[in-house]
Amino acid sequence: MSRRYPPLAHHFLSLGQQYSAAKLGMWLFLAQEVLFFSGLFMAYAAFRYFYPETFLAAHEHLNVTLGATNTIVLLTSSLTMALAVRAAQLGQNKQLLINLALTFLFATTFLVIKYFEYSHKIHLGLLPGKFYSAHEHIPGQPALFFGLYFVMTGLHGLHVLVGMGVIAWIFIRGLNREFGPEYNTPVEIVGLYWHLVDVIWIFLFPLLYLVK
Amino acid sequence: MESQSEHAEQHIAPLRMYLIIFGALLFLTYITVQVSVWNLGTVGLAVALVVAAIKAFLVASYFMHLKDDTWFNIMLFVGSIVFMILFFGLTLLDLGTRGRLNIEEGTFYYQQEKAWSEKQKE
Repeated sequence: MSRRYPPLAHHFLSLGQQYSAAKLGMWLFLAQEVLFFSGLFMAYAAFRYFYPETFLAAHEHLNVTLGATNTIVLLTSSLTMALAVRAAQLGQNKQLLINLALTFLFATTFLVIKYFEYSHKIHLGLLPGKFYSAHEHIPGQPALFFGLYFVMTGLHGLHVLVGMGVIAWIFIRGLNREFGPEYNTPVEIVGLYWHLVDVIWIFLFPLLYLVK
Repeated sequence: MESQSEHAEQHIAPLRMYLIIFGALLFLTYITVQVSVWNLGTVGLAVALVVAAIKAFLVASYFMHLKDDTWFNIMLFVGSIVFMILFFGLTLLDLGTRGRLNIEEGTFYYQQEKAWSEKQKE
């Protein structure tokens, strides 16, 4: 049995229905992601409300330059991802592959910068809970702040890692010339996911790095 | 062969639109960093959140094409934000007013009444 192009699953009436269903499913997943991350943002708000002086003092130990660089890196990756989706819609396969490769590269850059930030924190002992062993005096509950920092950025970093996986997946499918004006749903769906990862960082950056 | 665009219209935006939005996002990032340097306190936090919300709006509307999407998908995403605000609002209301209730000494209003009656006695 040869594979039909564009691929239409047997339980859908048309490609249009399949496309709408895929997009609806992705938006449902993204709505869940918003609520899932809002739990962490709520924890942040609650602890900041209880220990404002801790947050003011502890955030000084985060590197604003690296944080801002990562913001620009992630925003640029969002642009290249959007351009990849556009290239797929226009049937420009080479443009699609270039933009996907660039997005992957920016995602790697983001994680490399994050790695340097993390290893610096670990070196200083600015760690969550009982692992906190820094010599600097930070009033209140610094272990709480760094707990939030590591969990929030860590979970976001995990999303970046998953994003890199799915970008690599559609890159390989792009190499097989599977996407064009008739069929590009996977590229668009991955794009939606990637933009949400960017949106989450848009809120994480000012709240963690720029507390004033 | 039927194309998917016959049913659900896929919007192909001009390249210029993406670059303008990207420029706006970079500019807003610059503003957030700059405002934090000024040390405005609570106002600074409000500005940072408003700027972040504008950036999120731009990404969702233009990069994620939500502005050309179906009303149902828009409702889903906006709905998740509405419930997030509800979650934040109710929890912060609880945290902010928790100090007014002391099980051993009664409610905040009871304490106020007691303080007032003690003042009357003096």
